[in-house]
Amino acid sequence: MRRWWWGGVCLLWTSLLAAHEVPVGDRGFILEHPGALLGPFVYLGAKHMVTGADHLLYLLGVIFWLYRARDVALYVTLFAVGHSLTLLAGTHAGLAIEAHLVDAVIGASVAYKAAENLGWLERWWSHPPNPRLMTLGFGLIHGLGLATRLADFSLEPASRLPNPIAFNAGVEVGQLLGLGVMLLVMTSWRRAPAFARHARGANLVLPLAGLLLAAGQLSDSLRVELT
Amino acid sequence: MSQRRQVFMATLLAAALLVTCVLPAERGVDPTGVGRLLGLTAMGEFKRVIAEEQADARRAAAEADSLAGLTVPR
Repeated sequence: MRRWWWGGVCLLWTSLLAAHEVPVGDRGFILEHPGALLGPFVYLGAKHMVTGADHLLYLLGVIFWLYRARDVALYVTLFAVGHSLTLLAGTHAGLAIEAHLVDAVIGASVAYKAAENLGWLERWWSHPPNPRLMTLGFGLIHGLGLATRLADFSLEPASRLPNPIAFNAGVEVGQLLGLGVMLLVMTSWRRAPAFARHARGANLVLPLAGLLLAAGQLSDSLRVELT
Repeated sequence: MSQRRQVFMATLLAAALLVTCVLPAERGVDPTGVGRLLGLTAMGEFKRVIAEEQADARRAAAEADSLAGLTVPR
């Protein structure tokens, strides 16, 4: 049972961070200071990335079986291109999507990646989807989630270009910080003799965490519709 | 780079970010001046004002309750 403790920690972290909406102080500051605020938006982008479990869990799933630095760079770039596109395009167009629904799909993306890591997709389908295309596709969806978060700041049309670009830059900074910690932990974990055994457990916990996120968001979405 | 050195560098980076970015932006505490340069200290000061206003409001509400002879557990 001892090797499940970190699984419990992972789930706890997920449930603690699942509801990661924009804090009151951050929102108030932005609302009271219209115009371009590059520094604060870079900070808020990085903060959103680092304090939320969903994007980092997905990223963890993506790099789980990537051993070469070139592959890590390729997949992370695909993910980043995807979410930058929808974040910037979505904010610029003033896109309004039900945030909880997007977050539910983001939770499901974590589960999907874990299923792929476990080799279940080959078992289910004779031709599983291309993992690179899926990373790009899920990047697009994660970007929609980021765009709805940015919409919470109700940006003035005039600041719909510089501020989202700064926020997006911050998201990349936060992503790289998270990635750095993950790679640090992964390299030492991979050296451990029990890694193969742990890996299966980790990829079983990941979809649980992802589904937990998705279910939480779906129930929030229902609650919003009922009230 | 050895594993130990990597962990050391990561901790150093985290501490630097805490002092130059997180403390200014969250608490309005800016010992290095970098936070003000990046425009983060104003956000932290704003949050501190909000927190103080909320504390004042709670205190005033508690005082009003005690004046009315109510003992509402808070």
